[in-house]
Amino acid sequence: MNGARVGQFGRLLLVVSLAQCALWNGPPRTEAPPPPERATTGARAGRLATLTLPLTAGSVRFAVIGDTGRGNSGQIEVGRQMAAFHKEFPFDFVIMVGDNIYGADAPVDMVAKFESPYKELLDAGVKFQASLGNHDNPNQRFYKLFNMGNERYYTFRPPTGGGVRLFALDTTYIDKAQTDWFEKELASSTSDWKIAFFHHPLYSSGRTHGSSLETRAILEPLFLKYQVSAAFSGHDHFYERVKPQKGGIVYWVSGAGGSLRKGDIAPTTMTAKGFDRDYHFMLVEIAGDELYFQAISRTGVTIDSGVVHRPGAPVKVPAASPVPEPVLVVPAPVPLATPVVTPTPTPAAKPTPLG
Amino acid sequence: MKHHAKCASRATAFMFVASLAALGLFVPATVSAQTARDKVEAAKVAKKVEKARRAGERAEKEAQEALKDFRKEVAKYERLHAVQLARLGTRDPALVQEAMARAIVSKRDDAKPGDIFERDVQPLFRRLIAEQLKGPDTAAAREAVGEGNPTEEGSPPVLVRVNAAYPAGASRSTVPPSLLLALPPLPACLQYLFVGRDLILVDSVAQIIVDFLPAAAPALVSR
Repeated sequence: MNGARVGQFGRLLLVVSLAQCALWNGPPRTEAPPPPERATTGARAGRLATLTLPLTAGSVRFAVIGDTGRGNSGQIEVGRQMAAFHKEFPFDFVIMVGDNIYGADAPVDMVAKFESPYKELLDAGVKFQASLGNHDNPNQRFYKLFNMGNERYYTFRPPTGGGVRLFALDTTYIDKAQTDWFEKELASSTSDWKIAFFHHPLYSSGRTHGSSLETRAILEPLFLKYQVSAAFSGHDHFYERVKPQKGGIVYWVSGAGGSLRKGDIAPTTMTAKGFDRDYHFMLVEIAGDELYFQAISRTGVTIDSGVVHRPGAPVKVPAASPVPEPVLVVPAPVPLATPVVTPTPTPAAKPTPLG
Repeated sequence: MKHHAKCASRATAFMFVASLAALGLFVPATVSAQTARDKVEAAKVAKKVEKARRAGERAEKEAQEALKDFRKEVAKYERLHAVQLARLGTRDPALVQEAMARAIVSKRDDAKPGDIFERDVQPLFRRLIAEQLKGPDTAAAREAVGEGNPTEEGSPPVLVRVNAAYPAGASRSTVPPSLLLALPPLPACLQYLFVGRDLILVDSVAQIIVDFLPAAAPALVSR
């Protein structure tokens, strides 16, 4: 009897030890494409995962992709998934957080690594707004479909306005001219939402790159001084939403639109949500003082979603909480193994506030 | 026999409980330690950036003579760049790179290393770079130089030679913002970049190497 118990304990111990090993060492860090059998759900099957965004009339809607330009199957499948979601969530533009074209960038490469994967979206009139990464030729600023106005850094307002202004920065080369320009633009902006996007993450739990502390030392003081509300970056090839940092600013790393480093997220307390098992993209909707977000994997699975209240904006409810800190509300996570699929489009459900 | 089984059972139970405790306690301890390290490191880097800003201002005052010639050469190049760009006219900007490279190389076919990084200004550059990349508070800056550096990233090789093209598809080193604050500013047509430890000057449109300072950076570090 005792021998049997010992055996049971032994087996339990083995399981726990194995679990620990998996946690400490993490899965191998590779750029390997995901297994092909997982690429058969979502848009390919003509069905969509549940959209969690509210689709408020007059809202600003956009998508986020990063580290895309390889022309590989991961990028192509993410492109298909984006096109499928665009039918349900018609976003006006896509921000690209750098490494838009890896390797050669001759016209034929621009087709293979950009125009072809996003053909459906381009045909639907979706505008792409690029920022430059460390693998990008700075002359991509001249490429018409990246809408950079021939500049390494620039700013624009979405077609629907919505009190939103976006700033594309070139973090591979932050010289004084750029920071002076950025400060001038921030100072003169009257938009409620000031959103920055760029390649190198100020906060990241990546093993390979991690937080770009030098970039943070230059940009964060400007973000705080001029109340930048949120920031999107790439460079680390995974998805990460970072808990609100100084000034209540929420930072996202969205660097797996065509590149993937499986198991590259090292656990830190700043991670609100991380996903490093597959390619992904993000959808964002801004309505009033709320920014709704949904991160979606290559296979159409929702990997993260929620709503961020604009830092500094008055919180309407609950009345008992007068602190003007951003309120981050995230619904219960959707299980990754079983994609949530709706056979026919249904009215979008609002995320459930958890507090 | 019974006693041995009991002991083994207790030992296994202890190991099981210890494993669970380690699993539950060690993970948060590790991650919070990492975050604390990040905060400490970030504070150091913020201080360093301020120091770099002051170093740049100091260099402006102290090395005016050496910088005068450097600025003169940079201004000369800027004029050449502007003239060649204007000559290309309204050509599709996406196709300008090659035409610009051809035009500038033909105008500077006798250019040699040190034409812009002249001998007199080289010690100043080496000192400013050393101040920003050597020492205990420079790890983040040295990491930045390694990130994207074509010698570190399995990128197509970059031949460091005056008038050589910066190859399409070669990755680019992140030039630490603190270093850019310390180095003499450049016009928009030129950028500093690192290839390995060499500091190069690249034409931002033609994507050719205009000049370089060999082994300017200390040994690179990778994360």
